[in-house]
Amino acid sequence: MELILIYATVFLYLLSLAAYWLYFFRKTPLFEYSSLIVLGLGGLSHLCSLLYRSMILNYLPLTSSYETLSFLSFCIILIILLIQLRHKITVLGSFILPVALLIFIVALGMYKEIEPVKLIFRNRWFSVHLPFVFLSYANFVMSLGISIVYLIQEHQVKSHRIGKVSHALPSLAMLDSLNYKLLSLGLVFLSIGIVAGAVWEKEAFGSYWMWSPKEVWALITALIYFSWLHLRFFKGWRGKKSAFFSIAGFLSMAFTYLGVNTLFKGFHNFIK
Amino acid sequence: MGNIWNKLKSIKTAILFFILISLTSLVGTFILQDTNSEQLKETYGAFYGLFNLIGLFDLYNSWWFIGLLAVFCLSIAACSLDRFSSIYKQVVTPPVDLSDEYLKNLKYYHEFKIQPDLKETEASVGKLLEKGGFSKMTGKDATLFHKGILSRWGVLIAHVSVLFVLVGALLGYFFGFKGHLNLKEGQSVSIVNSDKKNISIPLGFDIKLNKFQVEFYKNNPETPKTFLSRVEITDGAVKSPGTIEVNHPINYKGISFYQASYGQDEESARFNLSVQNLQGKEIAKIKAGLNEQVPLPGTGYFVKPVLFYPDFKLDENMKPFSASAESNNPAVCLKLIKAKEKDIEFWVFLGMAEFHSKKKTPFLFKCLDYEQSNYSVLQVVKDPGVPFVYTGFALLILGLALSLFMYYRRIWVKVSGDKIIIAGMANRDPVTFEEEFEKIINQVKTKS
Repeated sequence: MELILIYATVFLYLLSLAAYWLYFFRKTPLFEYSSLIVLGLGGLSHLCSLLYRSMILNYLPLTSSYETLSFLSFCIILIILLIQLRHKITVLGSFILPVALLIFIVALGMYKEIEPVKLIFRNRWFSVHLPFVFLSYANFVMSLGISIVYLIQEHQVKSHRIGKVSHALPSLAMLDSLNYKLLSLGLVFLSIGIVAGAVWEKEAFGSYWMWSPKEVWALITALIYFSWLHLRFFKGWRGKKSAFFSIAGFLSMAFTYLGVNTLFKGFHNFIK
Repeated sequence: MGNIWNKLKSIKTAILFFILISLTSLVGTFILQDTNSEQLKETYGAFYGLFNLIGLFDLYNSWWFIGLLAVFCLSIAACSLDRFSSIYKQVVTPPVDLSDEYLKNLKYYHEFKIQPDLKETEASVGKLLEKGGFSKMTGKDATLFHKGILSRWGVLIAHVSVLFVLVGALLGYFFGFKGHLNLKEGQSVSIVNSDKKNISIPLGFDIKLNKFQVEFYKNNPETPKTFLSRVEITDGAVKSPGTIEVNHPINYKGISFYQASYGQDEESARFNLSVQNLQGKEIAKIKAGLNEQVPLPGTGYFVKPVLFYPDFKLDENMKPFSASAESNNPAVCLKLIKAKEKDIEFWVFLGMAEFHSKKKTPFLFKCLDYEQSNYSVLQVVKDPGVPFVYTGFALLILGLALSLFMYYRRIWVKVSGDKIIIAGMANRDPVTFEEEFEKIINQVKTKS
């Protein structure tokens, strides 16, 4: 059952990716709407695969590498759809959908059968912590993509090469505004995630914060984005500077999520 | 003094603190924390003395790290006061009457000249803005419309929230403690040893473990489904029972008890033995605890379990030992005793009931099963900072959401000579405000 849904998801994502790429070169309503609808169907099938796992686990499907990466790619797809629906920007799909698809395929490489959830994770605050952290990651991945597009677009504008590519991309102001929205939403999600994690830690271990490498890196990631927020609000750092901050924040976030687990295995003894 | 104050609340200071806190806490992930000094001496050799002196081995509790957080608190307090006075000024004496020059220099500016009746247009613009949720402030010759002031309060709330969290953490650090209790069933204690400070702390009441229960998943017997301690707290004449479960601590008089883990109390093992004669006929069933001598009825022999290894293995010298505390290969060493005869010692394995020792014994022994009681490991925490920290958490999310999902914008409407001026200002999200401003201008145009 789960595998059928996964295959359907991959198929639909590939199909909509084809539509996004066709749209990039030929802006017809056919490609615009078909990309949206097919991606929406793919997202739906993806959601069903997550719900299926969740029902069997009787918990959030977010306790193994496969599950978290799968959920992360689902959140990115969701954001692509929302931006397309709200801001009528279709072109981003051709850049960011491949990233989401790549994450989903990496997830499939780590596919594991369903295992029972560790007792320590069965906590209401932990079940708030997980989805919000990954929602924030999805926002930051999305913002990274938009920042790179921003830098490309700015380079084009500055070097007066306003050609086909430049016309296909959204305007600099639009990209910066989207970046602001994604980063601020991501920061709120990350804060909710960290706070819920701290409350969970208090309920499970008796302290909010144990300065484990994971926590230290989560703090550093949050401080990078908070620095961005302060500099943007009070020093007017926009555009290129925001884009560089987004890239730095993403690198720190990726290290928190993936690097800490592999590098600090011996240190990270959460569950004795 | 004023200079220091201005420095404290500046953006540069805030970013500097962000960088300092990031870097120092990063150091703590590379240097072993909270380990015994022997191991540290071995790892860091010549640097041990220096590192120890500056508290690198307990970095997050060192005087300078706490000090850094305290100065950070001061800086946030300065920012908060600054924010507060700025919002207060905004509310009490809003800048309504601004010169035409000033308005003209704002990013969003529009003027109409065509209207025959300027006053009427001014009123209709006002109505339009008020319908859009703007609040109105009337001045001498201009009107200020503003919306989203909550976002400014949000900034203040977010800063104050960090103060709550840090103050709560400091309260816990100075006036709280953390310790562990290993309780056997039936055991009662009234003091706990602190993990950090190496002192015994009286609880002020007794806590007794009545029963410890653990349940495993049916299809995954290694993973516990739940485990819990049924305890009873005796405080003078008052007795109150309670259940401590993973993720569900109990709290009594400001002291919280968490279910941390559990272990098996090997001393308490009791074995169910089946005794057979050499023809394989069962002659007795007996129950014996560790180091308990039990008679074999009608034979003059006594049986005494003397050793119990839950994970029996042989080392390179063929000496038995227990590889772990898990019951992977439980085995019990029995001693057969009779007056005037030499004692016989031999191993009986639970997993291999048909396996009998090569030693000559007058009977065959089978160990059918064994019972063992668990001890419960409880974490004991007193933390008077909890209410502050949780308030801070709630305020942080509220403040962030207000300051990021709303934004403050102002629009001035002013009749000056033969023209009407509409000018706007927003500190963030220029694209969204530009759309909003253009929409308003277009509505005014179509109306008139």
